[in-house]
Amino acid sequence: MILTICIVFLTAMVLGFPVAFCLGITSLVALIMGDVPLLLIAQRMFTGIDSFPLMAVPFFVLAGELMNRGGTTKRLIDFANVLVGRVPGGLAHTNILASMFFGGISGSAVADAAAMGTVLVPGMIRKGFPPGFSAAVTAASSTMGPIIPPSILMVLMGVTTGLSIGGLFATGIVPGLLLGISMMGLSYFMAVRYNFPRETFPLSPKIIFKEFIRACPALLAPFIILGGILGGIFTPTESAAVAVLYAFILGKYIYRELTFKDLADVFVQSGTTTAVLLMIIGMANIFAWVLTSEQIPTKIAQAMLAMTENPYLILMIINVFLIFIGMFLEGGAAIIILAPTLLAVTNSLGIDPLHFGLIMVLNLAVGLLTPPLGVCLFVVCGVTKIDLGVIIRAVMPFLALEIGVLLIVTYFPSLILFIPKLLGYM
Amino acid sequence: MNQLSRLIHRLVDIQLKFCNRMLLLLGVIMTLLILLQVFFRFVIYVPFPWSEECARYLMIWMGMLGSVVALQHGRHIGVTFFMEKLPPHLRKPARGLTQTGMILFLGILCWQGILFSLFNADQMSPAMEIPMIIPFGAIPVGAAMMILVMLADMFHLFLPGNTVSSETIL
Repeated sequence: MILTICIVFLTAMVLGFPVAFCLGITSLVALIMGDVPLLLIAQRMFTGIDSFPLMAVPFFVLAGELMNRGGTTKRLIDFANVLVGRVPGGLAHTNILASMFFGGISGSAVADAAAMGTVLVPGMIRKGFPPGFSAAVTAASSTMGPIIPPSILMVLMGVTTGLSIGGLFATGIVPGLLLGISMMGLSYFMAVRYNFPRETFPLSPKIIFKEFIRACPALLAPFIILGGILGGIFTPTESAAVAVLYAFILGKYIYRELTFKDLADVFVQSGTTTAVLLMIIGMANIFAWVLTSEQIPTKIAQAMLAMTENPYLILMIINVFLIFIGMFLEGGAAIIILAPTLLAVTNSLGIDPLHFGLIMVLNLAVGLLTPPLGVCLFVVCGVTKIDLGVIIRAVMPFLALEIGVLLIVTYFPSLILFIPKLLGYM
Repeated sequence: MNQLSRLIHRLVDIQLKFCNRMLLLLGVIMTLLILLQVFFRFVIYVPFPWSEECARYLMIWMGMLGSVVALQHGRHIGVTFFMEKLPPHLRKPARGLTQTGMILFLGILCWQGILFSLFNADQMSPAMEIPMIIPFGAIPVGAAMMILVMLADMFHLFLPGNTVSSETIL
């Protein structure tokens, strides 16, 4: 049965079926073979998306879209540019820093990749950066979106496993900063070595202050969103709705770039993006049922524990396994299908559940950059029209870096867990 | 055949407009509901008993109708790499295969969705006390619309020339 499932899934994927439907079709075949009533498809799909915490997803998507259209993203980029633009490799640093700001408001890597890919990549190429590097730095830095809170993947992790979403958000702060700083370091070395351009605009404290004031309302957003959740005032879903309201006010009344016509389009676009995710989630929920009924998760867990009961080795096995899975499975689907099983394994070895949650999300963020299903690669490739092969080659150093951060986070848990501890999540 | 193709394309255009309008409406109502829920709790200290349930059901409709729009615009995430690597003369039959597979799967989803809705037709939702067929119905309706999108795409691929606006989808 496992073999059939794998063959059907991979065939569907190669034939170009959308990921959601690859999961659905594979489940359907398994249900027919197992002689299970097919009503289960409709029922599992419905229960998979009928969840209140899950509603943070459409709101975070909406907030991101509102920021892009309402001029908020542009202010964040401008502000990042005055801060780091004059360092060698200027716009690459701007790209990374702006992605960090953006990640603090939006929870989606895709929204970030699309925004920075549209705005910054053409500018970088004009200034003389190699196209491959420009696209790679955009794709790589966008993967901080689901690490730096808020995060759609962490919401899904919380919904699926019952872990505190606020607690998961709190674990993402340090790795997010670590990723951003190390990516800037890498860009700096590459800039010095390959002589990448830097920005040459005049700079004075006055200019920095002026840009800071312009970006200030946008920079406040993460504090409102995270403060609300981590302070226990809002549920994540409510805080996401408040983020929508805030992004709307910024775009409409403070930066005044959002027209009502834009607004209609924003809702349609974000509704479509949300639907793609919900479809994957619903179908993954059927798939998860099929796997459970075949006791495949238990078998995976047993196989892992049979190899070793050393927590360090198990974490390494989980990392390798998830990086492999992340190449073929969309992140949200991977969480719904695998997180409960893997969590049971790590729990039995006394690994902190929040630590595991973060490791899994970080692995899946790496998966956004690995072909054949590297969603961020596709998005950047789509908006910049740079050849996918070129982007993939240029993204390799960043991928290595991200795996490095993953290893640090895996083996130095106290580095990331002190924040949730401080906030009382443990 | 040509007439059927034209009819399907007309229907697909109409349903796309309908879905776009609905996405706007659902998104706005969902946001307002949750903001009102926050407002009720913090400002006037009154619980809002059905906001959560209502918003959840709206989200399910958003998922299904948005999926129709996503399918129409090719926004569903998938691996197109291998299909693009196919020699040109094989691309058309391969796409036809994918489209057929989609229609079959969506057909079963639609049929089971109808059965599921009908089985639970007289069940009432806990908070709003509306018939559960209203939220459950999203699945068959969305699936049926997606079948229409795939049919239009198929006609466009195999009977080109008599279509107005459709583009390639998968």
